[in-house]
Order: sequence, then structure tokens, then C-alpha cells
Amino acid sequence: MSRLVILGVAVFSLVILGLAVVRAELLLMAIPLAVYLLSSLYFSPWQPKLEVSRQVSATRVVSGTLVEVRLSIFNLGESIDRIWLEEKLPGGLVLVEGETRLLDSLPSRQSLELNYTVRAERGVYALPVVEVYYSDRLGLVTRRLSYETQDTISVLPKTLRLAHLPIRPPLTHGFNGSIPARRGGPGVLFFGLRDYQPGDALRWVNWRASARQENTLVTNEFQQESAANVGLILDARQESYLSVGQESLFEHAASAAASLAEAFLNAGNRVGLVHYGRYISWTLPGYGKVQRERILNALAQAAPGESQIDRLEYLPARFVPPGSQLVLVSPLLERDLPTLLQLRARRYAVLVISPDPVAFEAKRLPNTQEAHQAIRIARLERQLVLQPLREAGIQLMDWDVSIPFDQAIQAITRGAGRFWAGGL
Amino acid sequence: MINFLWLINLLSALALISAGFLGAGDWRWALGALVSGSLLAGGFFWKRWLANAGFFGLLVCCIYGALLQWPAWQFGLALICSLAAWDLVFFAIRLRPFKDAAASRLPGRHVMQLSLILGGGAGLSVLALNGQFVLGFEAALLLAVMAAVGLAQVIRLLRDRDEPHG
Repeated sequence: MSRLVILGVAVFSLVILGLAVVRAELLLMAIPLAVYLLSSLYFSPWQPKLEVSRQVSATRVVSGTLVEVRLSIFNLGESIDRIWLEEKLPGGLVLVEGETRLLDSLPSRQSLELNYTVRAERGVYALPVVEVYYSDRLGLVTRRLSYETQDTISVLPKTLRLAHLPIRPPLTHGFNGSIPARRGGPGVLFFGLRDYQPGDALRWVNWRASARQENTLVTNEFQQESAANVGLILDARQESYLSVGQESLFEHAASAAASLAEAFLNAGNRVGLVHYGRYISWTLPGYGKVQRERILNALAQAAPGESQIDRLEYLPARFVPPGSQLVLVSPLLERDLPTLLQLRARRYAVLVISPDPVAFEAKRLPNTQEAHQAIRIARLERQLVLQPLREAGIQLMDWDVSIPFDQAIQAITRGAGRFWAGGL
Repeated sequence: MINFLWLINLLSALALISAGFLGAGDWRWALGALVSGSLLAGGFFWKRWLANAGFFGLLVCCIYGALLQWPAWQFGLALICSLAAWDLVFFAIRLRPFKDAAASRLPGRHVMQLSLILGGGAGLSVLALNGQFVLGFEAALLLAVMAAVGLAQVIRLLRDRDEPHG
């Protein structure tokens, strides 16, 4: 019950009771209460005119960046004895500095400011409606004003600069890129020999080979390097991922997908993204910086959710034609195997980046005999899932997320040529 | 500061009420006042409605004390202390989430305004206790009209109270 009502009831009860029993003491008791009540009503602000504005230092940042928010209230009307507000930060924004609450008085033609700094994790955050409360000097009459503001902070996943990824999908475009296209043309990799044709540069003439021929010059031919279609697929099914405390395996997967997208786009490829969790969301393939923004925005919004998709085969893999490069970022479930093998059979070059859930969880388990045994069994089960993929020629990276993605992928591309050559 | 002030006021109110009841040999009402005081204090630490219940309990104790023919200054002072404690408990609750506000001028201003209002109320009570005047019919009628208008204003305010603006 409101204090105002309690006080009103008390005053009227005392007056009526005093009159009923004809006792002046009761009427006297009502006087301080009535003075308190009336002074509160008299000084109560009726229609304050406030101008509320919120400024955000950046609306589009990379995960972990600090964002400064400045909220100011300017009083265009009469003085307000007590005014307060509280910014309720959406989950994922962590207060680093400053206060999100403010209580003060606000004289006419003056302003109040609330400054705070938040650290944002990957996601898209809509800052809430500003709700300003004000009351009289005794706090009996409280009212609320709401101000709609459309402040959104998009926090993109962190991208790491990756070394050149030597993918070799069967299908390439005519545009120049970095992928060996299995056909002769301008390039730097030796491809073969052919008869000299007028117009060929003399420095490309292979004199040793020409010496073995009669009246024929032989020229070196180089492999053309072209761009390719790359379909990035990010698994966002809740059941695929583990979360331990504040850390989620999905964040590593999203960050890896962002890094891969940037690396492929920088190499001149045509890249599209599909992420499937609660729903399927796709970004149609494209080139360049605009496409990079599209993909990073899509990844900022990606969140693991209960999936309606039971099997991967329902994925719209046809958004890149057969012969293209598919890159799946997923911890993998056993039932995903047939679909991956099927994609491989349809001439897709498939690369699977699989954040290792066993290694992720193992580091957080107690150092006991039972835990070791459980980890060993889990590893064996995982190997049983991964082995058929390797045998089918699918490139696979079993990624322990404690190693940064750029280092992990660099170690593999440098140390194991077999890995990239496999299946092509 | 506020956290001490409400406690001091509450203890003063309890001392005055308990002394009155114990002086009259009525320990049950003294116990009732103590329970009401505890409820008021509980409002600060737990749920706000406890503070309202506690204030209401202290008010009932004061009314009963008045009906028992206590000295007028004693129950009046007890009531004013209860009202101050009740107000300051809510003010302290309001300040609690705001770190900066406790250090600002707001608490000092509030205490000063509350003192003035309650002092004014007490002064008016003293005036009313000591002053005697005879009202004619016209003056009584004018007072009745003013009371009706005041009541209408209070009801209007109560109805508008929670309506959002802006």
C-alpha cells in the first residue's frame, strides 16, 4: 500500500475518531500528520518537462572493447526535489566504470549526467527505454516518465589474422584469387609444359626441354590462381556446445568463423555464411568489405539455441554450387557424419573446424582417477566420430580451444602438408 | 547519517510509548509497541510493507494511549518520532542503491525539510492545544467547504498517482 494512502487514512481516521469520541487529543494528533501530508502534496511536481538524451561512444565494436555511455537529463520545467533513474544493462554488457544509477535533485534549467563504461561481449544489445522517476521532497508522490531511445550496440566477434589457407576446391571462378585452379594461365606455380606460341615471353622458354625436341620450342606453363566459392557453416545447436561458468565453447566457434570469413574474403573469394541453431540464418555469398560486414553482423547475432534441425542434411548447402569449398565450424555430433560424407560425395571440398569439447571440459575437471578415465573414454568416442571423416578425405582440424585459433591453424598448415593435401 | 537518525527516532518513540503504557501498568500494549517498532525496523532490512505495518501499529498505540488520558505532549511527541522514523526508513531505502547520493547534499536537505515540517506540525498542535476560539456558522461552513475541496484534491492526486507521463 502506498505511503500516501496510509497517511491519508491515518489523518481521516484520527479526525473522525476524535469527533466521534469527542476527544481533542486525537484531533491534535492528526495535525502533524496532516501537515506532513499537505506539504508533500503542495511541493509535489506535477508536469515536469525533461529532455533526455543518451550518447554511446561506439555502436559497433569488437568483442571486449570498452563502450562509454553518457545519459543526460535537462530540466526545462520547474525544479524537481527528487529525481532518480536506473539503467538496466542487458546481459552481456558488464559495467566497468561509473554508475548506472542516479539520485539527486534537479533545479530548473539545469541538467544531470550519468556516465558509465561497459565492456561488451559478442552480441547485439538494445539499450533499454530510459525510465525517470521523480517525487516530492518527502517521497510520498512518485511518478514515472519513459523516454524511448533507440540505442543499439553491435558487438562483433574478434577476428584473428590467419595465415594463407591453402584450400583447393575443384570449382573456381575466372576471377583472380589465391587458389590454384588446376589450369594453365598466369601464376607462379609450375603447372606443365606446352609448345611455344607466338607472344610467349622468351624467359618462360624451357631450354632443357626444347633441346630434347627437334625444331620445337617448349614453354613453361603456370597454374592459374583463381577465386572460389566458400560456404561457411556455423553450427549453433545448443546440444553441440558446452558452457562452463562464463566461458562457452560457442564463443570460440563464432570467433573462428569470423576469422575464417575474413581470411577467405581477403584472399578474394566469394564467401557466404549459414548458421543454424534455433533457426537457420544465411548470408548469401559475396565479395569484399561489404560482405565482411554482413558476415560479422550475422555472427554478432548468432547464439546457440534449441535446434529444430535434427540433421545437417537439411542445411541449404546449395547456396554454394557443388565443387565449392564448404567450411563447417562445429564440435560435431555422431549423427552429422552421413551428411558430411554425402556432401563430400557431391564434390564439395569439405573442411571441418571442430572445437574439441572434450579438451574444453577436461581442463575444468578435478584431477582424479575417475576423471581421467572418463576423459579417456570421451576421447575415444570422439575419435570414433572423427576417423570416418578423415578416411573420406574430409579436411579436419580437431581444435583444442586453449590454443588461439590463428596459432592452431598455422601449426597445422605449416607442419602437416598431409592435412591440406588430404582428399583433394 | 540517515541510518542512525531513523533508529534514534524509532527508539525515542518506543521509549515514550513504552514508558506511558508501563507507567499505567499495561505491559501488553508496551509489548505491542515494541513489536510494531521491530516491524518498522524490519522494513529497513527486509520488506517495505513491514515498515508501513510498523508505523500503523505505533499509530494505533498512540491513539490508544491518547484514549488512556496520557499527557498530550507525550503521545504527540511519540507520534512525531514515529512519523520521522517511518519517513527516514523509506528515505534510507531509497538512498541505498545510490552510492553517490548518500554523500551528496540530498540527505542533509531531506533531514532539514523533515525537521521543518514536523516542527511546524508540532507547533500547530501546541497552538491548537493552547488557543481557544469560537467559530460562527459562516466560519464553520467555510471550513467545511475547504475540507471538502481538500479531500477532492487528495482523491484526484491519488487517482493520478501512478499514471505515467511523457
